[in-house]
Amino acid sequence: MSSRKKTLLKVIILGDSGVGKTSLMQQFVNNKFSHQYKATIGADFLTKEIIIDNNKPVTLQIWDTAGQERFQSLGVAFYRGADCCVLCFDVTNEKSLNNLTSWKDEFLVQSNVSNPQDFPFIIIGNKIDVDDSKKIPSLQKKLHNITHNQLGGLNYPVFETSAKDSINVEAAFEVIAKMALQQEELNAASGGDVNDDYNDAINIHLDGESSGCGC
Amino acid sequence: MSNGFRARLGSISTIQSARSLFPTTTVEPTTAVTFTNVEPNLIGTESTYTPSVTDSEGFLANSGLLTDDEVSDYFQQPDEDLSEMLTDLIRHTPEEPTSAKQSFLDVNIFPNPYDLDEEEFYKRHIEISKEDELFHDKLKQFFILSNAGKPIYSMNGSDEIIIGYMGVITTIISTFEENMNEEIYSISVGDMKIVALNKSPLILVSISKIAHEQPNVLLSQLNMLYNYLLSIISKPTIDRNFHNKLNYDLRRILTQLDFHNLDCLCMKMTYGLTSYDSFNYYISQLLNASLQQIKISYTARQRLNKILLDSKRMRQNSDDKETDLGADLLFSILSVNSKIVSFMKPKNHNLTNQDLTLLFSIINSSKSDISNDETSEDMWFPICMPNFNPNGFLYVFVKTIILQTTPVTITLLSSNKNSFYQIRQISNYIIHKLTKPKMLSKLTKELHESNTLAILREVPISHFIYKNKALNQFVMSDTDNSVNSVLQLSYFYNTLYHTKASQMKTIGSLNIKKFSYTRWTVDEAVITGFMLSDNNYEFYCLCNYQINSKELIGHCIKVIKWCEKNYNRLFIGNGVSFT
Ligand SMILES: Nc1nc2c(ncn2[C@@H]2O[C@H](COP(=O)(O)OP(=O)(O)O)[C@@H](O)[C@H]2O)c(=O)[nH]1
Ligand SMILES: [Mg+2]
Repeated sequence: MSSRKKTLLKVIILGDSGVGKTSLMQQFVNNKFSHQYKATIGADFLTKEIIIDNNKPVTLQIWDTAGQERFQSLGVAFYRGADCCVLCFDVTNEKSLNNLTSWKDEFLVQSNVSNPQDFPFIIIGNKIDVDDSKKIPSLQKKLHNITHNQLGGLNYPVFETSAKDSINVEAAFEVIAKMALQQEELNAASGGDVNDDYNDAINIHLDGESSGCGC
Repeated sequence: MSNGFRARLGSISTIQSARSLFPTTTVEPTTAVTFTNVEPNLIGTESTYTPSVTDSEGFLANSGLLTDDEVSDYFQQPDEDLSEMLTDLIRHTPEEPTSAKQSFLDVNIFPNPYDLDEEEFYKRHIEISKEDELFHDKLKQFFILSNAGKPIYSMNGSDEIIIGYMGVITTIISTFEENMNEEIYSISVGDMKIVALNKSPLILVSISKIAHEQPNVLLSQLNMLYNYLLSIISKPTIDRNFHNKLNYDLRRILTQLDFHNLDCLCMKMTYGLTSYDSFNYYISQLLNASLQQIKISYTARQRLNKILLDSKRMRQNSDDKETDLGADLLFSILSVNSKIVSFMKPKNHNLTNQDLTLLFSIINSSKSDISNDETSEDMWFPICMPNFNPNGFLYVFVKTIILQTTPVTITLLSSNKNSFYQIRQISNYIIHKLTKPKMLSKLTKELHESNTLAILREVPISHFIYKNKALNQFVMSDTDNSVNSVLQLSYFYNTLYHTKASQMKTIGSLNIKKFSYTRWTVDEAVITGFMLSDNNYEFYCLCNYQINSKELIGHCIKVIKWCEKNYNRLFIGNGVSFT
């Protein structure tokens, strides 16, 4: 009975400043790469429609920071009600890799999601186009340590991308969208929407004192 | 848009000479005369005031506008004199309304940067469009979103274009929220007003480029949209859906009908368009959720009230068991085109005017087309009346029957979800009574005549509104529902309503009279708007030519007296109560 519209998913992209978050989003949405982006308010938004499993259209509302991640002040609205989260690091910057765990923690604290263990995350290692000599030494091993660390718990799909050369960007966003959609469908199935709840009948005592009505 | 654009402006017509669409004359209201700074005893000095177009102390004594004293004079006459005056006035033969096709564009209600004709203008700037192409051209925007930034409803534009804006709005609002926890935000940027209402987990936003729409009006529009959502899904349902799920997409539980209803509400609130009851709705909201009335004889109303009371007491015997059919019935309403003819309520409870207008609004937009049919189908649906109780549902039974040509709607509100069959029997009883030959002929005759208020044949006033303040109910002349008329009337009344009123000198009276006066000049044509109020009533009228102030007041008083005399015929008052 509900008008099953396209599912709308709020995607947020987190990671250290300079890892290429804005570039990834631009590449994904506009197929463009430029060396300069600027945003004027606390966040920047782009929309992209994709089809999942050949027949499920979803609209992605992608939230990008305006660079203030440097100061760790993204505000509650940024995190509130996210459907999935993309954690980014730069394959040439080891510190950005080590910070992934704190980005995830920050997200969970701020967003207040109800089931953190089921929440859809992916990890993106960006800038794979750069010369191997500049990349983090033994990246795969370090990455493995982070994603398989029992305590850190970043056991998420990893994508190595280049926003510059458009490598793997689309694939990464499709996977996160698919994960988010699955989660959404699970939520809908269990408990689902409260909408046929017209049983909150009003108890009126016609002969007594005013009650039941707020007037 | 059944009435078309070329339809003549029914009530307010003015001579229009051949000219371009862009009149050279300004149509700024020749701002109201106000006397707030004038010493009350400055008798005789009025002629020395110089014309002023600001709301300062001046007034246009030499151009036929009212003076404080002129108005006061009228109210210090003993009643005998008054009746004499009125006889004079009756002799006045109203001038034929000049037939012309004054366009709303000529009144400069809206800026017309592309110099479009009426139809083009409507399509580009007014009409709701979910295409992105014209999104930025629209004069009005409404958005409803979750505080996660997910869109729920947008008056114009597609998801594609609005999703970005939703993000921006949420971010800005939450910045304010963190700092001051306010519920309302309002800013003006140039000629654009933005008002946001934070009803966490929902945010409602209105953006208007319409000069005469004030922020407080935008705010009440947002409250109306919010109340609509509450009425169909109730506050607890909203809260339960968002509980632990801030990413919840409320669109999942809204239907196509809801989106359609929201579209209708947006057009009604902003322009008084586009269905037959929209202009009435606009005026009702302008007058603070006042309820529009319909004229009917006192005895007829008494009889209708009795039918409602009797139906409430209906009993049924079956299998030696007596059932009280009306046990769950709370409110019964008989109405004609959203105007209440008869109303029954419990002694200790009532529905506010806001709830009633919302109810009518929903009934109208869900009504199937019954114009060719004798009766409509039975409707039965849950509704939450937000002022009555935001936490629960009432169940509404609606049926419209056509008496000759007049559609009479029976609306019955029950507190019990499972009382459909009982309530339908009550409705059948009411229909049975209404269609008894004697009742039918009396009622149809009366309802037919009520369409035009007789008083208007006697005065040269083209349109008026009379509101009883204590009841918050009003009567109004008929309006042709063409886009052109509605846009102009809503603009004129809006301006008149918001024009600062001046207080009249009344000696030794606690009943303070106020008035304001506004004039629009469109080329050679003049439209006069006049407001008069005291503790008991508010009266607004429009006159389609330049009229001598003394005469105008006289005519107004005549209409006011007529309304007072017909109090029992014009107003349902508090309806009837059962105990
Ligand atoms: N070589 C290379 N440079 C990139 C890539 N993605 C981003 N950059 C550059 O990295 C810098 C920071 O990118 P930006 O998207 O602003 O990062 P943000 O701060 O995370 O949003 C810019 O100079 C980009 O041109 C990539 O895939 N390859
Ligand atoms: Mg950036």
